Amino acid sequence: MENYEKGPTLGEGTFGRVFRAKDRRTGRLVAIKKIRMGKAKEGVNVTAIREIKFLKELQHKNVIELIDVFPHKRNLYLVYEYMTSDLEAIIKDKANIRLKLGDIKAYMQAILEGLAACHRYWIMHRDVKPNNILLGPEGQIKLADFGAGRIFGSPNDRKFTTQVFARWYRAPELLFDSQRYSSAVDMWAVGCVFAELMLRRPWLPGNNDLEQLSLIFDALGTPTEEQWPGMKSLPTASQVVFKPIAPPSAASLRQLFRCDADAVDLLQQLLCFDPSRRISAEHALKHPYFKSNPRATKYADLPKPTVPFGEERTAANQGLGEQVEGSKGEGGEYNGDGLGKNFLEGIRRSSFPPAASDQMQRDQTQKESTSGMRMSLPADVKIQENQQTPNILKNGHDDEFGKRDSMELERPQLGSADKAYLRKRKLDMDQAFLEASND
Amino acid sequence: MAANFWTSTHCGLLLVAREEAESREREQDKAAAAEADAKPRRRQKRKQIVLRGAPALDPKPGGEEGKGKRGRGSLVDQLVDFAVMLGRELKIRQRPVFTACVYLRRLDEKILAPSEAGLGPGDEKDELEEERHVTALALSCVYLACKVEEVPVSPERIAGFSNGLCSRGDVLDAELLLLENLSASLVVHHPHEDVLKYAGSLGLGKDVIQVANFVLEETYRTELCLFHPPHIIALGCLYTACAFHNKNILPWCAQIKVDEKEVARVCEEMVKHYKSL
Repeated sequence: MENYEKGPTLGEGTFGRVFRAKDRRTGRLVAIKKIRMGKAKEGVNVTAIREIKFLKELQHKNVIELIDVFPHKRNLYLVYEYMTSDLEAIIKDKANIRLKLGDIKAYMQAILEGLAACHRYWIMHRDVKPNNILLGPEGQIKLADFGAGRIFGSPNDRKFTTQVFARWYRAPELLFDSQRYSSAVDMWAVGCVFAELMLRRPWLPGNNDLEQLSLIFDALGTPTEEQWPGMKSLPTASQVVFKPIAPPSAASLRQLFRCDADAVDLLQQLLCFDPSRRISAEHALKHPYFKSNPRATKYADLPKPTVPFGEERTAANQGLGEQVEGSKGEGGEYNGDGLGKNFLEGIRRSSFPPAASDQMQRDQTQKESTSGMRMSLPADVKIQENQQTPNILKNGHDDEFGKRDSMELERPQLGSADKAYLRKRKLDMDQAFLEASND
Repeated sequence: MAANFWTSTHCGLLLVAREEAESREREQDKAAAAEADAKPRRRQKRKQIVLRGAPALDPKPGGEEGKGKRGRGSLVDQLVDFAVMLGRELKIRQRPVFTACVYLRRLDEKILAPSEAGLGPGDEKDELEEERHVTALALSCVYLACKVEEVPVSPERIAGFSNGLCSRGDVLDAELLLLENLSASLVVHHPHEDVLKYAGSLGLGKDVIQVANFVLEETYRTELCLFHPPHIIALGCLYTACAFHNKNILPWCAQIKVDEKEVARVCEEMVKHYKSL
């Protein structure tokens, strides 16, 4: 600790406070994450252990560098290279930053290269989302937060928990409770990030797992047996029946994202329903998208975040439905107005949950979740709702809801599946991660 | 297994350990001007490590009777024995136990003697204090290894095996110390999968594999894991096991471009280890 000069707080990470510091020996700026140990019954958090063990092995230009690990006064400190911002801040700052096609390409290339490195090492990241993609002072793009990471691919793997990823980036097989999955789940999340980069807002912001699925199917069509063989055999896939929706044409996607055919093709391959056919990071990098014009922007020429870490980090963290509270930024230049505006904009754009606690409550009472507030639930999805089915859903869809009664009986099973997380949690020791991303 | 072995910290540490041992050995060579044959060299190397460190500590960890050798080497050996015993009692799988043993062997000598390094409270060579410190380290090695291999055990259960010597807090404190001392290099590559893989390609029977696994379990108690990559250890175990069945796999090793001498050396070490029991 005496080797570092403590600077301002940069924000709250998944499992501890992050602050900036200067290495007294080299003068290098670093970010130090303090792992809280106080109430920890289990010693050093498994999340922290995972992060340490993976980052120590992974040395790649698109993966954040873990410089040092040291204990101090019964707390554990992880020292990282200093990064100035994250991708989420870039995406949100619509007022000041224009993302060119080449910029998006550069981000995608960096993310894919980072992930390809992870997957080569048989590590799943399991928490790919814009605010885990950090940006350095010279525009470097690096994957961070391996707290949910996991080694995969060994034949004697046990089952994995499905409660990984922020929900908006969760692959359909996870939403269907598949416990044996592989690196393809990361690729789905990359697809979501890709879409988000082009749209400048989260593409599929579901408020609960069920709504997430319906949003996915609404946007990409309901998967057929040919598109995703074996879907029906997933644990919860048979409990919900979705209205068949035709997949969108490439042209309509091009219109939505305002991009070229290569980009749409890559997006479609990343968001392929069948995990075994979903494109791998290695292959995605060879996609014509990266070879066509405009070329990927050089790191140095990428747009710079207007508000660096420390000033807006807390707000950025809140973006994905994490706890919403007053910004804790300590920087003097912190522009409260601009931040507030952007943040609100985010809420409006993407129907952000108003507050985490509120949302959690809604998750618990999932049965009522679609009533009233959830105006954005696609109206033509057949979900087994209970008697409190909102009227908006019924409007004009009486014919589909005729089958509703027979399906209602199955509905609690999904609820009980929700409770089963408690058991899975124990199995997988993902508690810390769950707490952190209890969206 | 996880990651690429050749770029991993495990491999890096392996090379460092070898270099250290070799440089030490070279110094010794100079001093003693001894004959420089490959095999005696190896033996010297091992002896050197056993003798490393000051012989001041009274080896009494975990309430076990000391095996009576001098020096810190025997202390580590005892701690490893203790960890293996712990693994058996707790029914922990082989992989985490192996990991724990590797951690124990990688530990700095300073950390094992807190009174000398001024780490612990045992300034006056408080024997009980030291014993507790060392036991807590061994316990937390197992605890940490279990966490790293994703088969967590509760710290209470682990602490319960110290006969009341260590509390949960001791184990957790030692865990932090461990993390620092291991420079946070936690991923260990295991020979277990390799044994099965090679046995498969050699077409060996179940009985041979079983013997090989017994030998493998015994390697935890040697220093092989510090100097040999896991696949060589695996082949060494298979070689040893095959010897019981009058089969020689060395030509096959040469065929798959593995240094047969190294494999033979592993076997040699194991035979020596068995003789010393």
